[in-house]
Amino acid sequence: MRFKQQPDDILKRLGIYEPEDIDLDLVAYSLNADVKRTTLSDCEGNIIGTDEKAIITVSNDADPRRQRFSLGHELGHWVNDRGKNLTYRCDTNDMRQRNMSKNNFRQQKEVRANQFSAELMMPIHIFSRYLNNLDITTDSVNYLANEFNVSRTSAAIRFVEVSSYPCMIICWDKTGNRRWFFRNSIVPDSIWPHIRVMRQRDAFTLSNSLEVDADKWIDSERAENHTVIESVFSNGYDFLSLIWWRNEEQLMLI
Amino acid sequence: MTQAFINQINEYVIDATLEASDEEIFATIGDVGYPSKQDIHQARATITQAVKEQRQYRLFQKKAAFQAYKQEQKNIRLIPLKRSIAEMLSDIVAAMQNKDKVPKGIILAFREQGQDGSENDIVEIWQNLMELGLIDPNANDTNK
Repeated sequence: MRFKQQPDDILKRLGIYEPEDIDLDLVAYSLNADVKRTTLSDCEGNIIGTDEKAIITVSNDADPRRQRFSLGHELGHWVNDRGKNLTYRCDTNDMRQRNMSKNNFRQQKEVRANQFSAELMMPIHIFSRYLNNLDITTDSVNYLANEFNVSRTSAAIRFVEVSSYPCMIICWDKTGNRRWFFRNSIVPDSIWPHIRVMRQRDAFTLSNSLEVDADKWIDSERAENHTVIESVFSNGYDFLSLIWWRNEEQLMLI
Repeated sequence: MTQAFINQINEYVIDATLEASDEEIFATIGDVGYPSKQDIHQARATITQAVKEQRQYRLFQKKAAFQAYKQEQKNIRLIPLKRSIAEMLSDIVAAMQNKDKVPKGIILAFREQGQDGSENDIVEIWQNLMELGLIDPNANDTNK
């Protein structure tokens, strides 16, 4: 995704090349935006900006990692959507938007702000160094989340996005309904996860790099003849299944 | 071609060089009349260290500037406000007339963070507008 300023360029300009140096308040300052933290009743963050300066307010009731994401999201609006009249109030739903809807311009801006936030917190010039020899497992997600001070969900999505292996992350609610999923560019668009998983109790047993039949997660008649490597974890609200294909040839056959 | 553009190209070249393995660099320049593998390795280590120090210095400077800015902002907030609540309200109303500069929905957004239109709320809105450069705190001083 293209932005008016690339997150890694912004960080490089500041001399930020290590994850512990990614201070979003410093980034905001460098972009001429002030950051305030206070109680917000019905949104996670908002931004008010003139053509030169912005004030970003983040809800201080949220988990610190959530606050970081919200700040990155508002900075995404500041970098990409600034103009004469910039006011955005972004709620939890806005912060979850991942797929662009063709006819919803506002929603497209929220998706872009979310992507900007993820790339600012896990910039490619730093993140890629940490992926060397990292298996696609729950342990790796935990490691990345700690190193980059982000939620496990954010770390997992970014991990899938930049991984050189074919992989996918699927988020399920507790009743087994698919909430969202994300596959990286190596996985063909024709491969879809189930809309709903059966026997949630079995499916959502926590795992870490376990080989299972692909039809456990993938909605295809031919999936039962193939396998994927799964890692299942919870973010406290939902379950996430991180899967990847050891044998890429199977992707063509499913 | 701007200085920023040239700097950006330099960054890309540095990154590309740093990311290349010794073998890749060696393969590019060949071995006749050129530095040995060890020379390249040493040169690369020296450059890497120099670049790292330069980046750290850049970050240090930015952090120092940010700390100074934060202190300045803190001091501004500590200065007893010269203006009464009535004067602040008047400033806010005047600022809102400037439709070219004032973002839409600004009062609603500020109010959302406030305390039901209390005096604190008014002070907060006034300060935010001042920080955005929409109110000049010294504008009326010359008239007094």
